[in-house]
Amino acid sequence: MRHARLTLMLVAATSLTTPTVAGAEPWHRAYVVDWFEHAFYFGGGKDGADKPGTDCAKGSNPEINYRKIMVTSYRTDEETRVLMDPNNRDKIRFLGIRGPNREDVYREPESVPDPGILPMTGTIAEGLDLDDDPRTGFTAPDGRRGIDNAFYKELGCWYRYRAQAREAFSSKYENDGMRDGGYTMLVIVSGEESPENDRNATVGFYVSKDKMVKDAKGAIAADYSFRIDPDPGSSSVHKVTITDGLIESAGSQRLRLHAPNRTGGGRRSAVATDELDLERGKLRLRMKPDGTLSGVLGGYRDTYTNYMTASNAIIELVTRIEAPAVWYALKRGADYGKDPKTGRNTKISMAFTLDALPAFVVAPGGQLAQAALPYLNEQVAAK
Amino acid sequence: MTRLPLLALVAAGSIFAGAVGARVVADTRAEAAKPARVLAMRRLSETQYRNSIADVFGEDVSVNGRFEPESRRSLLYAIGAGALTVTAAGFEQYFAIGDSVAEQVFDAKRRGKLVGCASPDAACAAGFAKTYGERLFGRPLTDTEITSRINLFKAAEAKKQDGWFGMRLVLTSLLADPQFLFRHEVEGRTPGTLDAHSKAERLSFTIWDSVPDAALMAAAEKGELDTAGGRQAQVDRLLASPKAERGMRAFFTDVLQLDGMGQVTKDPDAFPKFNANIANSAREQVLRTVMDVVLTRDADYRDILTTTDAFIDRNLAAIYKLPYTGDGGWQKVSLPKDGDHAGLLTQVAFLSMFAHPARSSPTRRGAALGEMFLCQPTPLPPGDVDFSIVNDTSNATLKTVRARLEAHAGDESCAFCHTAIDPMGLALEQYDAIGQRRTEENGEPIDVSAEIDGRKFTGAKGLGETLHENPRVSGCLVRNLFSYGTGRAPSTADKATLKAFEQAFVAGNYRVKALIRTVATSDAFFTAPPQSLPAPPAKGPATTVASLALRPLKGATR
Repeated sequence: MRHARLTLMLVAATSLTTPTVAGAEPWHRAYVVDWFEHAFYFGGGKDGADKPGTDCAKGSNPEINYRKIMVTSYRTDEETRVLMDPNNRDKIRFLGIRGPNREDVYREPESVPDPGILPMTGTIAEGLDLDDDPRTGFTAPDGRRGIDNAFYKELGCWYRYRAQAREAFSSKYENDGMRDGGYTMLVIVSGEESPENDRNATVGFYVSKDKMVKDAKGAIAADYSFRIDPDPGSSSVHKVTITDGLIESAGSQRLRLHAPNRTGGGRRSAVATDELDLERGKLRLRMKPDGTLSGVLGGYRDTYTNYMTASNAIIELVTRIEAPAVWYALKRGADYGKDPKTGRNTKISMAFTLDALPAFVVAPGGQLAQAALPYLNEQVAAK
Repeated sequence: MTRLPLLALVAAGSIFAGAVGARVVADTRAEAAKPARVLAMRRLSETQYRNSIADVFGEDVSVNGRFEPESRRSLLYAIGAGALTVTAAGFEQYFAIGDSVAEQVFDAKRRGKLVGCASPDAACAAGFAKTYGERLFGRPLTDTEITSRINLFKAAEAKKQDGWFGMRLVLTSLLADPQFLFRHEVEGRTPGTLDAHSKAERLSFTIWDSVPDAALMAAAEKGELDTAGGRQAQVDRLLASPKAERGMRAFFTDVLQLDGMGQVTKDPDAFPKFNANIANSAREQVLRTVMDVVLTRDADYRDILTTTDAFIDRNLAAIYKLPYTGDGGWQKVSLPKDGDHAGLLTQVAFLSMFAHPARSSPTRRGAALGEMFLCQPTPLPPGDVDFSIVNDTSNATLKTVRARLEAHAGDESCAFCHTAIDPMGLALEQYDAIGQRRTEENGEPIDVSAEIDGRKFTGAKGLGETLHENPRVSGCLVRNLFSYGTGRAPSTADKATLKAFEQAFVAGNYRVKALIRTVATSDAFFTAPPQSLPAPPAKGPATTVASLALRPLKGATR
């Protein structure tokens, strides 16, 4: 048993979750992210994500015809039939081998021509004006202009992400993994004036090894405590202003947080990563009266890092897109980070929606978030 | 070999026939040659069984199986234990559990340490039965009992050509013996008082929730438990042991009805946070709070009703909306002294156990408080009572449960009980059905004013303070401790004794450890008016062994 005796003022604890009177006192609110997904504005109806909508006039990208694409100069139609037999579990190892010279297209997507994807046809998108130019990009559902989300523009009809909020195939798969204990992402909003209006506030993203706890209905339970992982990886502190409860970035800043995927545990390979590293990042969040936090964040992410989340047989099989098509789409849509050697952009704008529940956050050493914020932010800045 | 043939072999080995047919209670008792009279038989509780196995064979021996349900009588399971029997199916369970324990005791890694002989033979079996039988039965075994185990060993060894198997059956037979499954309280020289070994058992089960250890047995053999000084020395020794916490936990689990936490369910729509983990944590929270007051700090018992110290883990912290800074275990926190906190009364266990699945219940809470702290049983409502007003939680005019209860109590037949029960529960209404704080119900402010015995108070804190000063609270604990140890509800003949105990308790500033010393060293604690024992079950093949287990010890001699 832990013998340390803490004096916890209930009054103080209550003030963490209820609005405080405006005043020039440091304040903070802590949250645990209970849903995090790609911001894919869905223009379809309630009759299914496959169907056409204002976003995708021809619906979501159809199933891949492997019997067609696997036939190469070195593989006959009959060999393809045997390979693709539903009972042949070994086929996973060979699906990528379809370049003209036996290249693995997952590693060398340009060994084959662009297979293409059904085009996104809408004009509305979730996201943020990352380039500070309202003339370029989409219009947000709430009417904001200049929304930069080239990832969505190029891949908006991808079955993987196209659906109502919280309904897309990968969103559910990835968030289930997170909610089942894969990883935990924390958010601390803090400031010096008040949660309603603050000119000098911050939003910190951290990770925790403490798992989220589900309630009796399978949702994530609020008000649990989480210890921040002392390793400051996948974390960042973002300067913001708060106006009438709306949190907005104070200019573009790098954002680092845990990527929406199924598992945690650090880098999975040399290129595939659990980290979401967004350059020129921005966010737009709102602290709601019910104590939750919701909103959108975005930035420019490296195209190859993005491609690595799609370049395997499983993603191909279950999300209905040929991996090379993703590569070509990312390359085509890249809108930031020009490589001086090639003259081509290397990063693509994208956005994510985030929902978070009230929680208690404990810093390394057992300090509560408020007391630990300077230390935390120093650690994050120093990494 | 499956367990049923094993059971048959044990039965065929004449264990029970030998033990019960020629029933004797240890010849070696100090009161030898006097007819033994069993004054009471109390079936071991699940925790007593588990603790006994751990104490005799080691904590690494696991006890796997389901136990027969227990029964609460006169507010305590400890009293109900005296009226329990074992069903045929239950006996098979006990047999299976005993065999599982025996299998572990005689596995290759343990037997060298526990058995004390290198190779199993009849002498080894006799020595084992004598040593461990004494620990399990709480008295030396008779020659007949040992001989029957030797016979069993020989039969099993011959059948399986495996001496260790025979040893295992010897232990199984001890663990399935009614002499172990039931505490036999045997009359001593003075009518209505216990013999030395029964005194040792009573002390050990009261303070340790387990069988006596060797030192206590030795003290009993030497007659030391017949003197106040001897009892004092043993009680002090038992209380100084870490096992005393286990015993106190068992006592307060019984008194505070904490077994009920295992059955608490909540409407997931109304209280999604509540789950089995919360329930388990809540139960442990109560025990930690009580142990902190009565054992660790040896403070005023009544402080469990007012303390603002609380133990939380990560689950409970979420219910209380408190930060948890621990590393996975329990954390002691101090809640604001000016808040509406009242020890156990405002903890999740009490508030959720005595509530409905989707809403609070001042009546249940009031009734439970009456039982636990005032020893005031509440009669069940009549079968035809009309609860429609109370249950109408969406009533447009009666928005709070207080308003609905007042309307319900307007019915004269309901008012009699509710007037006495509800005030305590209404004071706790600012806590919902899982113990979360609230100040409104259906948009209406919750009124938590109440009155007991002419004393007015407000809220949980006021209730805790009122009960803290109520003299019936200390008297009730005395009654409960006496009943828990003796296994019977006090009679009018015990009135003066209990009063004296209570006066000592009050004079000693309400220290529970001191109360245990007072009660457990008194002569009165070792009395046992004869009680009617359960009749043997109906005859039939399936109940043959069980009936042996249940046969009362009529005509037994020592």
